[in-house]
Amino acid sequence: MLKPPRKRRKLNWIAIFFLTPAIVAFLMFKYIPLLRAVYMSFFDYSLMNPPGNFLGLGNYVLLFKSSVFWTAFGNTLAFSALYIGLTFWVPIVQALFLNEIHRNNSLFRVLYLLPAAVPAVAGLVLWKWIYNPDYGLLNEWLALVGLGPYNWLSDPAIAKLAIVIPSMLGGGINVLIYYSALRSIPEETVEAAKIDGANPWQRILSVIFPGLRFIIGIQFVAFIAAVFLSFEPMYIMTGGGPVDSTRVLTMLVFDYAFQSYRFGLAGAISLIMFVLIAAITMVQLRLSKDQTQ
Amino acid sequence: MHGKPRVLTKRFGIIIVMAIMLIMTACSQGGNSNGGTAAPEQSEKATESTTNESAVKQETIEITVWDKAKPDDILKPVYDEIFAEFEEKYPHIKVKHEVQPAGNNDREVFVTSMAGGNGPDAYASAYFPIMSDWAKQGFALDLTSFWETYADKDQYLPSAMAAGTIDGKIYGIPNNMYTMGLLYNKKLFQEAGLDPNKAPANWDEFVDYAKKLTIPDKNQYGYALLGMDWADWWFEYYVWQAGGDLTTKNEDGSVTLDFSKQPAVTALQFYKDLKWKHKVVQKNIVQDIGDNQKDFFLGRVGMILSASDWFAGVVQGGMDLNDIGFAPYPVGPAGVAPSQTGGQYWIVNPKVPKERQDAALTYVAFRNSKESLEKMLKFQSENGILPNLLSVRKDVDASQFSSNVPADLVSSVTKTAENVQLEYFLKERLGSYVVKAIQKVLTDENADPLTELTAAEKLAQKEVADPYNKEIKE
Amino acid sequence: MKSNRIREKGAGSLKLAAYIITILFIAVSLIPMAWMLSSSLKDGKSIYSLPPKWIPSLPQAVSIIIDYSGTTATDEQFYEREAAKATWYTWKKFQNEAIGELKVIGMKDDRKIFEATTPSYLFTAGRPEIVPAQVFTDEMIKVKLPIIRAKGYTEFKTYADGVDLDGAETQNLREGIMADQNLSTQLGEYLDTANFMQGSLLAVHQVGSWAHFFDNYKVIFKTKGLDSGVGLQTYIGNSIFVTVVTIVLHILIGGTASYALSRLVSKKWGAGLTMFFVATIMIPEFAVLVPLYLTIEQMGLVDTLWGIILPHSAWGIAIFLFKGFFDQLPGELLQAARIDGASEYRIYFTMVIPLSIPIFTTIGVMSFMATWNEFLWPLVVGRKEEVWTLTVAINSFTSNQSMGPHIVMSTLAIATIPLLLVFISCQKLIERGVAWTGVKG
Repeated sequence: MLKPPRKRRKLNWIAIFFLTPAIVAFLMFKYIPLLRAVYMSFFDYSLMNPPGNFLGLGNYVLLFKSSVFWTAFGNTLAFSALYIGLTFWVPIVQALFLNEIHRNNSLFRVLYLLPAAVPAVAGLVLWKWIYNPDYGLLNEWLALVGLGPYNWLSDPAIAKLAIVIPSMLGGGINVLIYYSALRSIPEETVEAAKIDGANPWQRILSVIFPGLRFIIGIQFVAFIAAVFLSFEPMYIMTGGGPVDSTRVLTMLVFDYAFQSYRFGLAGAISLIMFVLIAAITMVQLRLSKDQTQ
Repeated sequence: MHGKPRVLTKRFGIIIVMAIMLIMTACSQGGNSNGGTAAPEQSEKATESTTNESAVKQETIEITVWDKAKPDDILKPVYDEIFAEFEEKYPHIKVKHEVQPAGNNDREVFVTSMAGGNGPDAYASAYFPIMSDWAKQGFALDLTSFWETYADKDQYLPSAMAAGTIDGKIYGIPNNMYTMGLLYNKKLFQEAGLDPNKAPANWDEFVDYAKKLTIPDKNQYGYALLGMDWADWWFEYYVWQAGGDLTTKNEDGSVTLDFSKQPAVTALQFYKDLKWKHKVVQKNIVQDIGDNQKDFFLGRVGMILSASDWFAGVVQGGMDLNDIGFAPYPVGPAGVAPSQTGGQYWIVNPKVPKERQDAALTYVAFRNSKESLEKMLKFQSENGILPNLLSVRKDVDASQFSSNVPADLVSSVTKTAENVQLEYFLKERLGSYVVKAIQKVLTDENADPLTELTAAEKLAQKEVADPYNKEIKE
Repeated sequence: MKSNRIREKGAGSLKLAAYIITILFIAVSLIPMAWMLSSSLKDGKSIYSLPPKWIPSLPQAVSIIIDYSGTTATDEQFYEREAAKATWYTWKKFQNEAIGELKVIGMKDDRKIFEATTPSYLFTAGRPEIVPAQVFTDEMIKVKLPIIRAKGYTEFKTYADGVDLDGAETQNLREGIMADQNLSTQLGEYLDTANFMQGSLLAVHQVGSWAHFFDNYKVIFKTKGLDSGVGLQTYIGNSIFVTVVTIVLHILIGGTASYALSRLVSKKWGAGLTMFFVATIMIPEFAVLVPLYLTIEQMGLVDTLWGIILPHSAWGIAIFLFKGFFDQLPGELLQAARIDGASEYRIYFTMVIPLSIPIFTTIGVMSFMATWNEFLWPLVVGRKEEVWTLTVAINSFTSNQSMGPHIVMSTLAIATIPLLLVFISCQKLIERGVAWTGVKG
C-alpha cells in the first residue's frame, strides 16, 4: 500500500530471499518437467538414446487411432459419471442432516472424520478383502437378504461400480467443509424463512441448500479433477481389468511408461489429461474468484 | 519477547540451508539435463576407488549386479558363499550386490533405472520373451564377440540359446530355465476317489477330475485357471494342445496372427466350458496368480499349472512334497501337450564403459560355471529343495542332486522336459489383445470365443502386426 | 439458546430423520474399520473360515509332553535339539493351524527335565529361516539351533536334575488328548509316527490363551529383513520422516513465498508470480510423472527419501491458501510495526505467523493427509525396501505369499493410527481450518 519509496529496495531484497526457494522448486518440479513431457511427446522416446526418433504429432495420431485409448477415455468418463451420480452428493446430504443435530454434534463430526484416518491405499486393500468372493463380508451379508453372490471385482459389468461403492459412504473432511459452510449461512435468512411459514423440510430446500451453492460449485470442479486423476483404486483393486473395464487414462499413462516403456506415448496421454484438467481448474479458479468478490 | 530473536536466527538457518540446497540441486540438474550423465559420474567413481585402494596393483573395477538374495531366501547362504568365492578369485573386481526388486514390477524398475543411467552392470532376469524388445531398445549388450572367446560356449543347450539370439547376434547368457506342467494335490485326489498317482491324460479326463474335485460346500474347486493380466501365458498351452499356436513367425521375420484359427478357438471354448458349463474354476476368475497359488497351498483347489522350479515355494506355502503330484499337461484334441519352457537370461549393460562390461561378463561366466551351478544344486539338494531339473548347461545334470525329493516328482519333471516349446512369437506386444478376449469369455457367459478372438486379431493386426511387419521389411 | 422456541410442524420429523440418517451413515462407514480390526486379530486359519466370523477365536496354547525315560543321553545340547525339533518340525507341518503358543516339555522318570516355549509370532517370524523346507533331519537342526538361540525364537529351560511337576502340568499329563480337540489329536497322531525325535510322545494338550490375542501385531514388527533390518518400523519411520519434512517444507517455502507475494512485492509482480505458482495446480502429478522421475534420477535421488520429498516442495494449493489468508491480514498492524523499525523477518515471524495459526494448521493437516496417503510417487521413486513408505509396503504385503490377510489387516490398522490421533486431538483446529478454507474455497 503506502510504502515509503526509500525502503523499497531493501524490502525487495527480502522478497527475493523469501521467494527464491519457491520459484526454484516450482520451476524444477513443475514447469521444467512439464516442458520435458511436451518435448517427449513428440518423439518415439528412447530411454537409452534420448530423445529417439522425432515423430511430430505421431504419438497423438497413434493414440487417437488406437482402441485402448478410447476405451480408457470412455472408462474415465464413465467413472466420472458414476462418482458424480453416486458419491458427490453424499457428504452434502450428510452435512445437511448433521446441521439439524444440536446435541453431541461435535461427537458426530469426529465420528464422520474417523474413517478418513484409514490411508487411501489401506482402505482399498481393506475393501478388496471385503469384496473377496470366497471369504468376503459383503457377499456374506447380501446372501442374508437373498442377493448375490457377486464377483465384485472380476465381473466387467459391475467392477466399475465396485470401485466406486466405498466412496459412497461419504464422511471425512468433505462433510466438515459443507457443515462449516452451512454454519456460515446467516441466522436471519433462516429466521426470515421461518416467519414466511416454511416448515423445516422446506427450509432446507428453499434457504439452506441454495446457501451452499458456491461451495458445491467449487467442490464439484475439484471433485471432477480428482476423479479424472484417480489411479490408486483401479491400480490396487483391479489393475485395470477385467477386460479393460476399469482401465482409465491414468493407468494407461502408467502402463505405457513403466510397462511398455513408450514414454512418448505416455507423455502424449498425460498432456491430453493436462489440458482437460487445466480447463476444469480454470473454471474452479474463476468460481472462487467470483466468490471472494 | 526477548527469547524470540534466537528462535529467529535458528529458523533463518533452516531457510538458508533449504534455499542453498535447492539452488545447488537446481544448478547440478541444469548442467546435466542432456541425459548423458552416466559416463562422467562413472569415471569419477572408478578413479575414486583406484586411489583408495592403491595397494592393489590391478585397477579395481566396481560393478553392480542385482542378485543379492532376499533375507528370507532359502538359498541365501549359498549365494553368499559363491559371492565370496568370486571376490577371492577376482580381487580386482568388486561386485556390489543389490536386491532385485521383487513382485510384478521388476521389469519396470529395471527399465527406468537403465533410462536414468544407473541400471545394474549385469542383470539376471531378462525373460525369454522380452529379449528381442530389450535388445532393440538397447538394454542388452551384443555379446557375439564375447561369445566367440567364451570357453563354455558349447556347453549351453540350443533351446536355452534360442530366445536370446536375435538376427544371429547373441544378447543373453542363459541363466535358468523351467518347464511347465500340471501340479495337483494328492490328498484332495484321494478324498475325491481319484488315483493320486495318475494325472488326467486328456481334456475329457481333466474335466472329469475337475468336476470330482469341485465341492462348493467346502469352498473347494477343481482347477485354478489363470485369468489375470497374464492369461495368455497358460492359455497358449491349450492352443498348442488343440494343434496350433497364437502366432506364426514367417521366414522373413514377419508375424502372422492366428488368434481366430481353429486351435485358438477350440482352446478358448474349452476355457469357456470350464468356467460356465462345468463350473470347476475359482470364483474370482481374474484373481492374481499369487492368489491361485495360495488357494492351492490351502488345499482349496485340486489342480493348477506350475513351473518345475516352483516347488520350493509350494513347500514354503505349507505343503508337503509328498502330497503333490506333477505331470505333463493333459493332451488336447490334437493329441499333443508340449510343455512350455521359459527362463531368464543374464544381460550386460551396454551403456557402461568397456572395463565394466568385461568385468560383468567375467562375473556372469563365474556364476554360470559348472562349479558354481553344482554348488547351488548341492545346497538345494541338502535343503530338500527340488533343484531345477532343466539345467541350461549340458554338463550339469540336475537330477543327480535330487535325493531328498520324492522320486515320482523327479521323473515327472523329466517327462515334462521331453517335449518343450517356447512361448508364442511377439507375446510381449500381443499379450494384452489375447488377454482381453480370454477375460471377455471368462466373465461373460454369452460371449462367443470366435467372435472375441476375431475382434482381438483384427485389432492386433492393425495396431501391432501391421506396423511390426512394415518395420521388419524396411 | 432459544429454549422457549415455539415447536414447529415438521421439526420433529426432520430431527428424527437427521438422527437416523446420520447414525446410519456413521455406522455403515465404521463397519469396514471394525471388520479390519476384527480380521487383524484372527489367526491364519479362522481368517478363512466360512461364514466369516466377527469374533476372533482364542489362540490355542499347545503343550507337547515327551518322555525320555530310558534314554541315555543327558547333556543340555541334546535336549535343546530335541525340543527344537519337536517345536519347529511339528509346527512347520501344521503351519496353517491356529496355534498361539507351542510348549515342549521333556520328562524323564516322572520329572521334568526341560521346557521350551515358542510363541506363534516368533514362529511366524522365524519360519522362513528355520524351516524353509520339510527336511526334518538331525543335520538340519544342528545348523538351525544356533540361529534359534541367537534370535531368541524359542525359550529353552533345562533342568539338570529334573524338577517335580507343578499342578497344571501334572494335569496336562493326566488328561492328555481331549476327544473334542481336533488340533491336538492331529498333532498327537503326527508325533506318534514321526521319527525325528528320540523321546516318545506322552501327551498333547491345548488350552485357549488370551496372551496371544495380539500376536499378529507382534508378527508384523518382527518380520523383517534379517540383514538389512528392514521391517514395518522402517516403513513407518520413512512415512513419518517424509511427512514431517514435507509439512515443514510446505510451511516454510509456501509461507515465506506467499507472504512476499502478498506484502513485499508490487501488486503487478504479486499477481504475476501468484499466477506462476497457482497455475501449477493445473499440472497433474500424472502429466509430469515420467520427466519428474528422470529429473530425480539425474539428481541421484532415486531410492532416497529426499527423492520422494523434494518434489513435494512445489505445491500450488499451499501458496494459493497462504496468499489468500495473508491478503486478509490487517495491513495497518504490520505497517505500524514497520514504522516502529521492525525488520520484515521479525514482522513475519513474530506477528504474521501468530496471527495466521489457522492457515498454518490447515496447510499442515492437508499436507499431512496428502503425504501420509501418497502412493504413486513413492512407488515410482522408492524401489528399495529401505525407502518404502508405509503405503508402498502395504501394497506389497498384499501380494506377499507368506503374509495372510490377517497380518495385512493388522498392518492396515497400524497405518490408521497416526491420522486417527491427529483427527481426535486436533479436531477443533482442523474444523477451524476447514471453516476458513471452506469459505475461501
